[in-house]
Amino acid sequence: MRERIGAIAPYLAVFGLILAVGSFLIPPVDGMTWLPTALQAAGGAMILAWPFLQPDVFRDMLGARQARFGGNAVLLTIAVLGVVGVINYLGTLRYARLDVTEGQRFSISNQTRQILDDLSDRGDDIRLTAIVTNGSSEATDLVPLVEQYTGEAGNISFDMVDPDLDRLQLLAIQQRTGDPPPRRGLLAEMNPPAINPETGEPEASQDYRNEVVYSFDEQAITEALVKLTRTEPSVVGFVIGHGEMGTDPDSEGRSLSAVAQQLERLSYQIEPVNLSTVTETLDADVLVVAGAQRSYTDAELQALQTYVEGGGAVLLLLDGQGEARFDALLAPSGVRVRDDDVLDPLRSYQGVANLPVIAEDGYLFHEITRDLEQEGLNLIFFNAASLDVGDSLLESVSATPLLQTSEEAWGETGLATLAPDAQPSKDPDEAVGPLSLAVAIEGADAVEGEGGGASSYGRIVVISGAEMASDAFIERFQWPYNPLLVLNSINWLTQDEALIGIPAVAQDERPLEAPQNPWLLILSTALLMPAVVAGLGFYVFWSRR
Amino acid sequence: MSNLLTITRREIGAFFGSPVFWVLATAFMVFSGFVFSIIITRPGAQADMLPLLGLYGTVLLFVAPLMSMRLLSEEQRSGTLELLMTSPIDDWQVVWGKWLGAFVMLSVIVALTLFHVAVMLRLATEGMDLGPLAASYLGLLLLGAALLAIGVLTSSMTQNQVVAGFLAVMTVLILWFLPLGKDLLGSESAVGATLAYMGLSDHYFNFGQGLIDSRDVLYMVSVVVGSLFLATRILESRRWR
Repeated sequence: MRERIGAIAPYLAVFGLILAVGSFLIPPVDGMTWLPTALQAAGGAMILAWPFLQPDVFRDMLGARQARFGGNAVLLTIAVLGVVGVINYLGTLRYARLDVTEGQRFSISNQTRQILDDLSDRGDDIRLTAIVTNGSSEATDLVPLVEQYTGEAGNISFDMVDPDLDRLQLLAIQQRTGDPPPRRGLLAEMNPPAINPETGEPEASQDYRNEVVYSFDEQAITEALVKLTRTEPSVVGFVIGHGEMGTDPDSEGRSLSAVAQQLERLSYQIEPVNLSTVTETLDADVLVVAGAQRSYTDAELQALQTYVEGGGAVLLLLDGQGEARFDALLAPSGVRVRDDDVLDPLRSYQGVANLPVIAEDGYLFHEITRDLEQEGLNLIFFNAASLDVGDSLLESVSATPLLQTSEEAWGETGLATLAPDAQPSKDPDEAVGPLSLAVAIEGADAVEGEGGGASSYGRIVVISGAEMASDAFIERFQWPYNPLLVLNSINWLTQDEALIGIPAVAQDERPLEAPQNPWLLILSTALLMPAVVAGLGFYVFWSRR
Repeated sequence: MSNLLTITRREIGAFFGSPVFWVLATAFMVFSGFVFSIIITRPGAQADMLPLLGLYGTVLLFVAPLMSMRLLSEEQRSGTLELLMTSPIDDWQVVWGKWLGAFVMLSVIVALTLFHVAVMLRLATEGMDLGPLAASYLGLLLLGAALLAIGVLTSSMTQNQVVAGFLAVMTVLILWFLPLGKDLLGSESAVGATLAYMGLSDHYFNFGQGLIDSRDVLYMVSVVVGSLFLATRILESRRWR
């Protein structure tokens, strides 16, 4: 009997080895957690049975010359492969990744990083679930991108759900959100409810919120995270009624639609505000006054002033020179808009002096401009008046210049009356560079109001040359960075410092020009080129022969 | 080192003189050229070589084993391996020299596809993102190096080059589809994660996205070193078997 079993012992040992290795590959089965251990034990017993049942064969094998050399070779092989394995394991613990795509497609933007920092500090449990077909290019692209989110904020987890395969997970999502999940999209959840082990139902979670976005790029993911964390959106009021730039695209491009689009991505709510109809208080977190073409009435200006003195925030995008109508509003800060046009022969766009460019050394330190400076992004201005930052009338109000021209710049006062072929030049009475083109004004403490009561002075950002952020300007100069100054200013005005930064840029499409003769292209790539290779091979082969 | 380079040069010469190499190169160019021309003439085509380079990588799964299958098995069958082993050349020099020769020739085949890049650059009016393109070619070369090393390993196991080629294709296909184990076992399973790491495809496709990850480079280099080390040990075992 023992001899019979001994004859099949080598086969048993191989089978045992397969069992033992296979046990590690078995997916966990509820109620059968013992199965892998049992298979390992059975496999081990079958392997050990071989030397037990055929001890003579084993003894001969171990004493042979082959066994000695073979043993050394096996040990060396195991050692070297072990070292390779360990190096790979260590490599997974500490690794570096180089993103060589244009625009760093797989590296999250600095704005996203700040938002993730903020999320991390809040400590909420965030779960991202991508509903996407397994193995699709979208899924493949998404993983390295989301890995950066989870790496940056430890409280974010990520999962992928295939809409065709993972029906149970889709059902669980529907139970949590109360809505049928999309066929394709990214679900972001804050504090998702735990599942009750007894009922299998999600437990109530008061802080639970969710957002769905339908694309898988960084802009969309970050947008979802921002919306999750905002219980009430901040309202940005765009003042209307005096030819200001609006937020809807118009045919002339005199609009801030690019800025408005970004604001909506950051979960801001955009409302039109007519100062003439304001009766009591303005219901907006920020007011944007963008390039008015007609003067405001005294009542409107008074409403604006009352709003700021009540702690409100205003972004003044000044259109051209002579913005004297805001003098009273800016007076406490000591900021004055000069009646000139800034010309900068040293640092300007393609040498055109009335298109001054703000480069890295033109930024002055402030939260609004910090990231623009760090990223080395330039801004182009047009039709900008210089801002005089004098001593503030109130101690509690401070004004900080944000950016300035080169020393060669000056504020030309006679540009409008200059003959077409005449060259403008510096006059002694004109302001000389460096000239400020944007200023941030902030009130620290309570300010005495007109009636003697105390009120809190708010924040104002003044940017000279409203055109610089308009759709037409961006389109004409193909310059996407100007709106960042406006966006960061609004984020600072609403005190959403976590949102200040450089947002991700959507991936550009690069279409191919249709070939003039497609058949020629097909012939040259699929036939001509291979024919050249084959001909070369034939020549080499023939000449050697 | 000079022995290694001598073997490399000899191997390159053997490839140039071999009709198999030219047939493989021509077949590769016909296939890739045809797919390229179809993709590039589609309406709305983008200046993006990445889908094509993913496809080229898949084709290499078959081309590389066919190139490497005869490297050691043919020497064993014809008996010239005995001559090599009795000459003052180390076993590792034989193995690495042959692999390096095959790698140079595979690189020549890969370089032929630069013709497609040139055509695409000409049609790309808004330019191309060259970073992912360079990363893809790096990935393609590393993948080719790993596939050839596996081919050298299987070639050292048998004197029949068809068997060696078949074994190599099977091995690379298993390694290619190994990451599917992660889907079967779940991404949180340690075994699933290990299988995913051991698979070739995930590491290769990362390059195609324009990401050069130290883990992917390390993995590919490990496959080369591990396979060639095993091939050397197998060759050496002929001395005491």
